[in-house]
Amino acid sequence: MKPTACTFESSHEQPGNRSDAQTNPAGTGIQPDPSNAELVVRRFMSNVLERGDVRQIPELVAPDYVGHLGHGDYYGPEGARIVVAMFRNALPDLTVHLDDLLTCGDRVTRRFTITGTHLAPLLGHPPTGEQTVLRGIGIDRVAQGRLQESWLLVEIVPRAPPTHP
Amino acid sequence: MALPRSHQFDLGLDVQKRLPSDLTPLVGRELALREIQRQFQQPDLRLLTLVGPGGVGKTRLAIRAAAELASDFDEVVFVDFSPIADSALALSLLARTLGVLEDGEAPLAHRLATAIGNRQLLLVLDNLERILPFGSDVAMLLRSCPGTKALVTSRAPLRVSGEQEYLVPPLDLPAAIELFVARARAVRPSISATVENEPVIVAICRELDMLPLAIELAAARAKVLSVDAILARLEHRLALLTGGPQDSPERQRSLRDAIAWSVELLDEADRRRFCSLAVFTGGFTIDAYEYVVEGTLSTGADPLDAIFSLVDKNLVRVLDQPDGDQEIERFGLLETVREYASELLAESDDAAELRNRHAMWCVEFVELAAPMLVNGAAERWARRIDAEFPNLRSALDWLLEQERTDEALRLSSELWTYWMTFGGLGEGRQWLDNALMLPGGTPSLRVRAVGIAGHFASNQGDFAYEAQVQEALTTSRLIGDPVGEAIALYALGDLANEQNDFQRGPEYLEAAIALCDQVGDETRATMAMVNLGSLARRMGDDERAAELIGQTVERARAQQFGVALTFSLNLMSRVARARGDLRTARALYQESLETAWKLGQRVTIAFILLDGAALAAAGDQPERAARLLGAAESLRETIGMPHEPSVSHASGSGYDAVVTKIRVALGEQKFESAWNAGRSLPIEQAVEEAIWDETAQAHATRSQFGLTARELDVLRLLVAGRSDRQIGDALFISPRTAQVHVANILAKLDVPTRGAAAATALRFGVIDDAPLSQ
Repeated sequence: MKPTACTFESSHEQPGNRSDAQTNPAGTGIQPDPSNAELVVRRFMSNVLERGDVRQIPELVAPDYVGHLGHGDYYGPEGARIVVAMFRNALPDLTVHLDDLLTCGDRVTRRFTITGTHLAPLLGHPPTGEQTVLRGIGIDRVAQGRLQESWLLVEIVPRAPPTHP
Repeated sequence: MALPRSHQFDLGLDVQKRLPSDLTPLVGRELALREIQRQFQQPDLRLLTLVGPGGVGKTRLAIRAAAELASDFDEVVFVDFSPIADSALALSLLARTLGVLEDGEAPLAHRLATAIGNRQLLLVLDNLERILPFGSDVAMLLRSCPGTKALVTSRAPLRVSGEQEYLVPPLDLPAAIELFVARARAVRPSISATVENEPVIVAICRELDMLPLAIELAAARAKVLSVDAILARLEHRLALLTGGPQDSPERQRSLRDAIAWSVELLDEADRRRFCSLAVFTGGFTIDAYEYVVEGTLSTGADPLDAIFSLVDKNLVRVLDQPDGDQEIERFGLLETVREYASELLAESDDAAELRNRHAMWCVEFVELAAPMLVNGAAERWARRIDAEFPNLRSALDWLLEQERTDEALRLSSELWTYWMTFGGLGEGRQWLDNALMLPGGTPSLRVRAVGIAGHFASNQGDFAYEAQVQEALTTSRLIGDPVGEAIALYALGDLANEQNDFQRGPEYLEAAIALCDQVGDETRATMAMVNLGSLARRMGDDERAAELIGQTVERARAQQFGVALTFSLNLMSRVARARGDLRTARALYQESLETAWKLGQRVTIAFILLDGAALAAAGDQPERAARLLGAAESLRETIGMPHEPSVSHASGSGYDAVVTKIRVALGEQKFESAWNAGRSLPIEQAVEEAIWDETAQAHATRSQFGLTARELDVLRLLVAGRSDRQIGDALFISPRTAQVHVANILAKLDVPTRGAAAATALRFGVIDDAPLSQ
């Protein structure tokens, strides 16, 4: 495999970097540019996952998309919708923060944090009603301006036990 | 010449056609089927109930078992009771399906038993769990009808004596896996059970308690979820679901949980659409869906796409309609699915608007469909209306509850053509009475409803209702509603006609005709003319009668108004008979009876048979006359017109006179036995006997060998080289019945083989050149 251009961006250099939805709540989100693989992922995370605009899914997700999550696979735009719904139903007020983003050829790697109030079951965990943090790592293969395949690992960050007085 | 098939009688219909088809293959039930067969072979088994939780597949099993048992019966009838929540209505539904109508008079159960008689009938009664008290009606029916057996499905046994139970087990593991894979393949052709995924599939099946319907719901998701994902999500979700009412047994929750799981995977729009479907009872067409659901939700999606999206997920199914209008697709929800959808709908904001649009759709549907019953396409529209009846009933209930007087009046009034053509006036009258009890309402609608109720009352012998109709007449004039006035005048004319009021009858009817013509109510104008003609004849004014009836025959033909045509032809026949022209009388009579049979008009047939009897009496065939009278009485009972035929509907010189004449001619004993023979004749055979006036030669040769008309038909086909199945198809009887006929023919002709029978038939001229009718 011949080496291709890679870009790297991290939020470490910009502490307090807030999500696009938070800086620009009234906006329509990140605009399209199919030649840019990284942009596809950003759009998905921001417009679909964070803002909940599921109408953009068919543009961003290939018909034979496969999403590999820890517990099984999801197929196609409908599968992607179900994954997104899984998070959004569980944490209706979620915000998304991209902590790291590396692009190398057709692969985009991201490290992200999802924060919200846990109000509905998520992956077998009953709702706690409290502020919850999820962290995850994903690799997406992008082509023709769409997500073709994803590998995702997400976990709930355990809450620190209350400190004893 | 064979009788064409009639929608309402459906006797001798190929049994396969009365069962819904297997739209998906039945997996893993060989043992169960064998066991059910074995139980049915026991001589004293009359009632077998398939018991089991929701989702275990009782209905499918029952249908397949019935199909396999069909050859042991003359007929198989399938009735789905899931739209019925009130056991009091269950008997009505069964009666309707068997073509027995209810009225105020004799107990429906008795009439049902009479109608069924000794027929070898298999009743498949599906989903009785909500109406367990109906079990005692079933048991009683079985006691009265020795040839009948019942196969029931229910979540709980009926607990009546004579009931045998068969507990339908969940699938065994290999069958469960096979079912899962088969269903998954339907949405993802590449899937199969492999070494890697088989343990996962097994786990899924176990998670779902091996219930076939739950497994199918899960497998349908294989399009978007891998098998691992299906399992994981099921495990996650089922652990947390607290479903169902507190007192439902553990297992019942399993299917419901699977439904809930599947519904939660739907996107917002699909979920709203799904809940909305709970507003329908007994299924829906795309047209209804579009008006009611899309009309409320305005999702903008293509209706067919939206429905089939839910069909793919096994939440909605395409309904197979063995007796229905094959051209219009119907969809429906399994009862458990519908229950869940109802729960969601109750919490939704859309409920009120959906119910409203549902009721409006029903009203408009009836206003479109009912008038079609008086033209040539009657049969097809009758089937459509039949299919929508559960929806119509629930719409009426809602309208009554909401006191939407005008719509309730419209719905009950507009159906009058249906009740009039096919009978069942009792229910029709009740709908009208209920609507009229509501407060308010547009005066003209009230007036019309009373007029129509008056028409029904007249046929029911409820002459006291005249007072109400008089009031309606006055009101109609007061408010200036000529349409309502015409209806009231007609009803009063009909009431007078029934009571042989030669004074007021003609007055009302002539006024009705004039006004109906003026407002463009052609249907009623024709009916009024028929009545007037009938009155004229009874008054002895045959010339006027002939003139009027000649006109009505023309009008009825032009309007393709079936009922009017048959009645008119019958009346013409009476006119001819009165002047002694038996030949013409018989020809007209035959035409009227054939027309009535073709259109399935049991009501008119019941009356026309009386004329057949009178003709037979006049033609010195007293035995035949007595048989026809007996058959007519039996038919009157089944359609719910048990009151003695009044003179207006009886033969020209009076019903009583005819009866006396043939009683004298035959002597009491022969009279009784001929009458009883007629009572137990299947109606198809009675009509055959009544229609055909065989040529002297045909009569002679038949008598020589003692063949019945039906056997003659079978013999013709046999001579043409047809097999039993082909004979059955041609004559609309089961192959087994055809086989019986052939055996009888061979015996009567005293020959050993079909070939010899054919040779004998040709040699003796038993078969003529007449072509078979279609």
